[in-house]
Amino acid sequence: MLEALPCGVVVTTLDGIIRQSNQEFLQWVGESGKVGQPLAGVFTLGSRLFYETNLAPIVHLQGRVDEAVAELRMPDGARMSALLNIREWKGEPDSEPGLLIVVFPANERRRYERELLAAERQSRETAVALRKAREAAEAANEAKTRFLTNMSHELRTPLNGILGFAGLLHDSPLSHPQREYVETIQQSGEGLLDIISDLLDLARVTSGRMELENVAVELQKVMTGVCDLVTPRLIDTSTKLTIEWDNSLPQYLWGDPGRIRQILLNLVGNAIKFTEAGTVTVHARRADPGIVRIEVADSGPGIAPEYRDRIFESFDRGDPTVAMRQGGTGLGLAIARELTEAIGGAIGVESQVGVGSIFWFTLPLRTAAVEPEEAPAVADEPQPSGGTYQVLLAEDNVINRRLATVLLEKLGCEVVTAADGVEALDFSQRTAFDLIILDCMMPQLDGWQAARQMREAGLTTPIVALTASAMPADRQRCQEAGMDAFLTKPVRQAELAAALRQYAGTKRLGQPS
Amino acid sequence: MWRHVAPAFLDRYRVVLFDHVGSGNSEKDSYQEERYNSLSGYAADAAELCVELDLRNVTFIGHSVSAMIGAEVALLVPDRVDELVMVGPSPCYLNDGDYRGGFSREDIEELLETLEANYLGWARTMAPVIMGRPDRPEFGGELTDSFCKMDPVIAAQFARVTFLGDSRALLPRIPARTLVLQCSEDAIAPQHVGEYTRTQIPNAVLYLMEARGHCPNLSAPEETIIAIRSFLEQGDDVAPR
Repeated sequence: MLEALPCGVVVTTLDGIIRQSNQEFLQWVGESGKVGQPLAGVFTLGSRLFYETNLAPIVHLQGRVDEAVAELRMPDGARMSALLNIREWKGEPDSEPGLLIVVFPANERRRYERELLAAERQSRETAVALRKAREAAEAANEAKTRFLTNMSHELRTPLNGILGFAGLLHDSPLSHPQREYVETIQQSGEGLLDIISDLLDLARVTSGRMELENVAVELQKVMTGVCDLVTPRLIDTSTKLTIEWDNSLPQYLWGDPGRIRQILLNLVGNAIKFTEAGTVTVHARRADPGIVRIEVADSGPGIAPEYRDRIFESFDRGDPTVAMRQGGTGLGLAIARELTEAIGGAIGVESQVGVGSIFWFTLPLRTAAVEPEEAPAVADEPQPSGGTYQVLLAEDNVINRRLATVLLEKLGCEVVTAADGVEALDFSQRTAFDLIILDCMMPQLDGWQAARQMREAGLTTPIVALTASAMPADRQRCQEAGMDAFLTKPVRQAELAAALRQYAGTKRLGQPS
Repeated sequence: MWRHVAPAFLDRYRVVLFDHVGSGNSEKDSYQEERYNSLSGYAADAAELCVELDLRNVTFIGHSVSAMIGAEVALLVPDRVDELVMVGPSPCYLNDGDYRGGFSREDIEELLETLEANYLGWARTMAPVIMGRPDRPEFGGELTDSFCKMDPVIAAQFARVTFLGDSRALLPRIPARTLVLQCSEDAIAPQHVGEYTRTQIPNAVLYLMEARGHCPNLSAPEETIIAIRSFLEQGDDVAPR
């Protein structure tokens, strides 16, 4: 029966001495496959090692081996790949137990497999190379973002000085041409500040380090606020700006008001920029279930189809002639897109050349049931009720220190300045102030540490932080250090006045003079 | 690998069984390519085990490549290892001048390729088969699994370290009394290699087994037990400690 099988068949004793082998098998291995020979002898030396150290123990342990690969040594010295299936075999009733080995030729299969294994090895190596390349690219991108962030901060500090002193100069007696020069300096400075802010924003959103707020947002108010903000730009044009509100929308919804405002401001600002005479309509409405859609429609020149897909890319303003005319960084829409995606919405544009464009974005509609507290009514100007405010100002940059001092003095304050945290701490312990303003980044002792030490020393004077970066994490850091409020640079007179009103003012009012 | 042999010694001895790092149930995370680039890493582990468990008057029993690991252990902690039992040892598998280890570098390369094919190719040999053996209940799934579950990369390095290594220089320095258990018709460690090992070790005897092949601990446990036992008891009689 063994002879009739279309494969090699060998029976051995449990310890591997051949007891029987069929003709097919003998044709392959010759003398070494004969009865009485050790099975190990039919293999090449490499396979013999494998058989003795791996296969034989496994057969002992498992009682079987399926589809093992081994090389047979043929009488003429050639090799033959074989597949082995081995079973421990009880044998006939009158014979000893042994091993039954079925052998299939597998030259073709092995050749193909070798090629596959080589290909797999190569693809593993390629995968490693790809991973390394990706890591390098990510590191480069990270470095770029870091550079951009640092440079933007570095640029903001001197700009703070330029804008601040231009503002002071503007308020002083000037001739008409002088006033125009100063206004040009102010406009250029503001333009530069916008560019830097855009760059910082883009760096932040593309690096994935953006922190989002989730609070109750009064969307209609955000829309009104944005329109109020851009209205001054309409003075010299005949463009009309209107708001349309869908009354079925809830008054409050959960979201990040700052981001929504930023996106909307970008779209509305753009619409006004490109509409020389016509209409711009901001329209909020319910779109698909659970989605709010905000549209900014203009009657501007429209955007040709070939530019429509590209306008949301960084530094791409579509039609190059438009870019020449309008200026700007071309980052606004790229930032709007990144922000929209970050808050879980979508953004897009529909346009017809000569008719106008509709820029739209969507927000997830999550109705907020709670109504935020009413903001306390405040007076317009700080009202020192007795003498002047005593303010301690700590700021290491000389120009910014002088600027803030002048601004504060104009608001009726007496200012004591410190160049670092150590000095500020020292002064705070010797004199009673109405308000302490601390720059965050200072040598020796930074603003956070100084505030913390003041609080630890039992000081209750309101402390306002002054910082170049406005990330929510920084705000939290200021709170944790015991600071009451947070002003971002470049600091403006109105903001300083508000801080004085809210913090120093109430304190002063509470103290009979 | 010692399931049949170890229980026979529990009556008079404390038996410590362990898996080398990278095989069986050892922690795979402990495997470091540099440490296990020679047998010394494995030997250092075993010596550490002797110290950690404060083992004294140790008889180190090692099969195949573990016999040579045992030789290094005997050198590392000579005050703890009194006896060494080498089952199917070969201090060097490669032919080298007059020394006939039995294999050439090409043979070892072929073994590595066969290993790769059986681990990574279509062959299912090295895929762990967990199955009961109704006829041999002492084989739980655990043991079967333990022998077979070896990372292909570790298996390849282990094979390279085993078959390309040369421990011949160690043999004359082995202080322990040594038994070389030599199988008949062992294609991996032929008899002349066993003889060589015996003559190189200062205090060694060779026992030629009837068992054939390379794994008498699996194929002929009874004879293995008798040989080790008589070596240990003879030690007691001849040189009582």
